[in-house]
Amino acid sequence: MFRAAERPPVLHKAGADRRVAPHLSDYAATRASFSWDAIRRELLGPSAGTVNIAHLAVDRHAAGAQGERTAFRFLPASGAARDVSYAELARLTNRFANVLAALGVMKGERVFVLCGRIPELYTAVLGGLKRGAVVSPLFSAFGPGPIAMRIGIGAGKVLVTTEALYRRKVEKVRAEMPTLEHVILVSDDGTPTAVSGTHDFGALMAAASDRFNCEPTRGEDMALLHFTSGTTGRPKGAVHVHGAVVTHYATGRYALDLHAGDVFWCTADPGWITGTSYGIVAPLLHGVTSVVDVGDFDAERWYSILEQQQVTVWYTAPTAIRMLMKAGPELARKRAYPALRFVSSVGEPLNPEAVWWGKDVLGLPIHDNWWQTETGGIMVSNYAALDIKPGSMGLPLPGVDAAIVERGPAGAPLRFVTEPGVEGELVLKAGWPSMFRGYLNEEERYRKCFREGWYLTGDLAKRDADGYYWFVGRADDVIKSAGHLIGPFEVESVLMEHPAVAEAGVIGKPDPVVGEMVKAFVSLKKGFEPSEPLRMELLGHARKRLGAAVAPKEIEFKPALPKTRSGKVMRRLLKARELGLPEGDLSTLEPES
Amino acid sequence: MTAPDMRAQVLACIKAIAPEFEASDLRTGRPLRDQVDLDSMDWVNFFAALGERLHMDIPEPDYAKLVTLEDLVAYLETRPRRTS
Amino acid sequence: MTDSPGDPVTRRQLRDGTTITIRPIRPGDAPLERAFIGALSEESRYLRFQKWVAAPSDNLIHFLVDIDHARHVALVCTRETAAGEELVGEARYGTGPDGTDCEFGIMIADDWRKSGIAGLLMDALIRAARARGLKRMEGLVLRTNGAMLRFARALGFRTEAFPGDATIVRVVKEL
Repeated sequence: MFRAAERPPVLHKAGADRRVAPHLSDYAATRASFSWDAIRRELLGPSAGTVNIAHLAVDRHAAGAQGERTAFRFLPASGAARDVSYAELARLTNRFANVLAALGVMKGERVFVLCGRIPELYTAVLGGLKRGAVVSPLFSAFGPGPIAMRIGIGAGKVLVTTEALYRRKVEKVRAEMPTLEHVILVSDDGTPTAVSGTHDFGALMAAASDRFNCEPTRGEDMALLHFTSGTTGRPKGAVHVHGAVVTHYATGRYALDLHAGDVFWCTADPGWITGTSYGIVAPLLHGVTSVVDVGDFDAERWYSILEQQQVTVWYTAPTAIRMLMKAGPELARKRAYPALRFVSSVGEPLNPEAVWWGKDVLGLPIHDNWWQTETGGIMVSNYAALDIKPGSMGLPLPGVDAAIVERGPAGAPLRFVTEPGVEGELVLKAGWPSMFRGYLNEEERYRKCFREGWYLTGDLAKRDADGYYWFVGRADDVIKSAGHLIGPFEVESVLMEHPAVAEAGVIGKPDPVVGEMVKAFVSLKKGFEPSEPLRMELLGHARKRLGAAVAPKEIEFKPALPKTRSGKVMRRLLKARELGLPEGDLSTLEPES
Repeated sequence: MTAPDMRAQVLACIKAIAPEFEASDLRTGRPLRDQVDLDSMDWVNFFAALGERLHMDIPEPDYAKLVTLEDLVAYLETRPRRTS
Repeated sequence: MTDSPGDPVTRRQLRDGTTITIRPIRPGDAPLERAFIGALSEESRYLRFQKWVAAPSDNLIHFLVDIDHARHVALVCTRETAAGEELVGEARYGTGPDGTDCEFGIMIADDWRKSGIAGLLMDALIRAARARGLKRMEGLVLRTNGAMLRFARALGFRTEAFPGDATIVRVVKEL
């Protein structure tokens, strides 16, 4: 294997890379003929007017010849796989919709789901959508703080979680969530739960009918709430509507190249939007079988899943790919993946080495794509039939108009960058079906994301002469770790709660595997001395409040945080010192006291 | 090293990564990662720290087999120590 | 440290008729400064300090209030209320090592945005810098802080990329 530096800048596709004719073979022609209306008519048929994601994803197939096809194949940590057919999924989700109806959950009310990737999570999300409730899946590695804050912002009425997660993360903060009327617990070991103030999932399901008339939601009705972190303040609840399903359908076809008969594996957790849009909705819309691994990442396990489940289309993340690369090519080569046809990745830019690694080790290059919680679905992508420029996020989807702009001050017109290779902010022409429709209760914050009919992504990028987009960095200082956004503000504020902490500054420390790792610098109040026990105490405090996914991995004591002469804390400098990089122009730096 | 010693070493390694963890909360025979809040990065770091502390090589393909604390202790007792 | 810095005390009437005073900060202003920063929204504090600042610490207040008025200059904008003097805005700069340039920061109470006091404070700060012979003033502004970037341009600052940090824009004005 040779180094990426010696690789050509373009990975050309050969005929062998296209055993199944890709849906998108002529990019320009598909773009020219594409219309969202045509896709909408194709998916919704004559019933336009009512749109319900769960109906289109599940019931549409359950009734027909597809009914006995496996919708989900759940792979537990150990033991036999559990297959759920489209027909069974329809019955399960009907039952759960009835459970919610019986609890008095009305259309538009919020149902939060906090579970690992267990079957009940999928039942709860889709059943909630059938009821017309707004569903918000939360990542199960969040700590009590982020959980309570998100349920608070979303005014959650119902929470579906497991007994273990409830005891560890919810019980103690339940008083902080006054809107929460019902908590439904999934048993960890199969025996019914009996925890005061909660319901047992199994018991409620058993008592409910498996027939339900899906709520006739409209395209603009709120369906899903996904939280994302910003630079300041509280996390933002991005509002998504039932009509978003048109984008999920189109991108399932053009970006993921799903064909009838595919076995699809999206490795993302539904606690993040990728795991909902592409771990639940898109594959079901296309009537394919989705593999769901309940277990955690493990290199050997993942290769065995690819081989044994005969996965044909695999959608994963750079962090996972880099962990597989670290585990060495021998592990991958112990097995064969003749069924695998298309591999794609999202979360953060995929380094060229990883694109080529796919080609070398799996026999297939990895196709990076780009989107955000706010965009609801894939917006810029590499495609099965097109050449890849490793390191690039690819070309905009048909139906998506992208551009690079210089934002300038508010009120000033956007300046569109037409020169190739010049950095600016990536913007998207507003109006694609899965565009977020708001930040919950934050109209002003939402309004600021748009100008002149363009959505401002906050991501800096450049476009080359061939129209390929290349990610440059974030325009704000949100940390991107393992593909997830973490607001430094949220982490700093929790550290500041500790009585020993005078100042906290949090940065994303570059990490070869997860992209950026959360690192905190802390200065102590008078009377406190840096020590290992205190460092452990702070780490424990942060993890207890924030959970492993958000809390810092490293905490370092500093006598003071580097500041400019006017008192601004310089994250750039914390980062430069951390990495031993040149500190650049320090004329503005206040000498450390 | 006796099994209780080995158990103490393992718990100390968990504690170094997740100081909020209380060994008294641990239930026998249940997967460790269901009971301690460890993400993928923590999990990899945990094995690295364990190998370091016990002067052992713990190959990554073995991680998947090591689900409970008991699995882990039994496994570590069979591993050779590095001599250097 | 001096208790009577040379910068003038000026009294002005705003468009809405409110009378405000612009004057150098004094060590005795610590309680006012603490109340002022404490009342700012989280976002305003973040935009000013570029990190999360909860209740301002003693160190921070000391840094902001107890200054030499030679290399570190700070002006406050106050108004009289029934309960006494209230601080509603402040602007400051620190001088660089070669003594020719400085870096500024400005904070305005959330309710006093667009009142005109930010412009009055910056005009006074620029005069103070010129009076001390400085040649250049610069500021480090978060790229997402559109209001501040617009304000700086209106004051005649030009914007530059800040090497190594895409989240920050440097604004510069020759004095």
